[in-house]
Amino acid sequence: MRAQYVVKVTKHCNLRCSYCYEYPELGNPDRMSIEQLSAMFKHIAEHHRKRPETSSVLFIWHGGEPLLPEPAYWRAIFAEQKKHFAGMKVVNDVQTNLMLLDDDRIDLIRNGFNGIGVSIDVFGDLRLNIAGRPSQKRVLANMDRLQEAGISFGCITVLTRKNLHRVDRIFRFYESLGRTFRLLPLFQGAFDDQHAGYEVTAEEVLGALCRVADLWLESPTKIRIGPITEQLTNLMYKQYPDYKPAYYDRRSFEEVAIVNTNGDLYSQADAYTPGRAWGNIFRSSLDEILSTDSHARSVLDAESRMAGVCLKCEYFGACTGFPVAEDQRRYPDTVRDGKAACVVERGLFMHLERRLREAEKRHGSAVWEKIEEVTKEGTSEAPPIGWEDIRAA
Amino acid sequence: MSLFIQSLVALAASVSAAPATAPDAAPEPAAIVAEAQGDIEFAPNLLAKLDSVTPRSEVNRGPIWGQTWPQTLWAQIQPKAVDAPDDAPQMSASEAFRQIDD
Repeated sequence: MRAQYVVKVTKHCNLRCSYCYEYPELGNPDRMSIEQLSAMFKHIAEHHRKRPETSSVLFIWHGGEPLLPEPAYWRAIFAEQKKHFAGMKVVNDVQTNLMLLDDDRIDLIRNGFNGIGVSIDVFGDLRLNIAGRPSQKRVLANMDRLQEAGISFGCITVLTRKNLHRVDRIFRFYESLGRTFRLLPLFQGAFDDQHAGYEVTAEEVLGALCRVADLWLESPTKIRIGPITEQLTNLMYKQYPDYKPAYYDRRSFEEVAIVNTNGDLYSQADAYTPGRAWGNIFRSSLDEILSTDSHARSVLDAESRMAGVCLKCEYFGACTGFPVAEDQRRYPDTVRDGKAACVVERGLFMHLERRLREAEKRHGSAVWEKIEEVTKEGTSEAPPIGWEDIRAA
Repeated sequence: MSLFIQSLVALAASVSAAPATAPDAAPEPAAIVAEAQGDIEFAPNLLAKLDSVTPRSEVNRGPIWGQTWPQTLWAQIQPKAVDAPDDAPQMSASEAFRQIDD
């Protein structure tokens, strides 16, 4: 199992994106100290050394803008990290607006971080600098610099009403670049009405994702598009002879935690909600934090959401239930009286499954022989099962 | 039935789970998807594409937070195809944007 820690190393940012859920804090220059980070590394490493099911520990460095601090700060962080995680597999990824890119930061990205994600919406001009002007031209230029430096990167595009009608062009943009990207529907803001004028409904998001899925199926490109190719992967895996359902079981293993700049630890669903922090990773061991009442409440709430929505879903098991557990489906048209339905993820599974059945009609069983070939290569002793068998079952 | 599912079933049956049930007024995904189902022409390399996203044996199917750059996600899924994790860039980002901008 991979443990992911999304670390809000600073809230300080050189942009003022209209939809940012950190908006009120973007001018705050505070950042985690090396001493605090050392305590965090110690507590996380101690916990995972005792958990043999931990395959790797992934730190996703977030902000604010994580590349605002000078590269020397990051090199000190990595040096401290190495002290605590000796012999363990650790991955450091950074999510950046890529507004600040000099030779030293290129070196940092190449030799310090393992992966880099760039935030760019392609259309909409909601990503603004402090003067309120669009930032994209500079980001594009810096993407060119990364490309010239031979550094691979992925991108995140937030879907809003400002760019949702242009998903065809957004797809063509990344297809031309040959870059993996994620379409991230606009999520809860920092205050009421922050998203007025560009919020999106579940119906619109699902329609857009279906459209992009079709563009991907029609194009020769092999770029990956989150969440589309991730769901396609899970859908195909469901047809494996040795398929085993996988669930987002937080009691067994906490796979994702958000670390706020002050060290408070949250689940994604509860992030920054007063009274919902599990504990403080600067001051307490992870073992202690995972045994607090606050953590137990967080888990129970996540399971209640899954019990109410996922048990009835035909894709539960192929989908782990993460989107429901972590409350990612709060669109204006899916929430009534605090209740929310899973419309986007379930609908995308339906769409992809139907497209794969169409592909089977046109390409014959070769579509599924791909899966059978894999099985014969040693993933299982079990005889492959064809699509017809699965449907009959 | 796994212990995890058993616990969810028990939870669903309890009063405390009731507030988490889906609202009746929410849009029905099947209806939205049905509207999206026009004819498409599958890519000639569809099988290779599917192969490139097909997981190998022990795939890490946990949640993916943030962006799926190749070092994190695809190193664990281990696609059989040896293609570069991303297709080779064909043009610069600035040029790619110029081509799609009005």
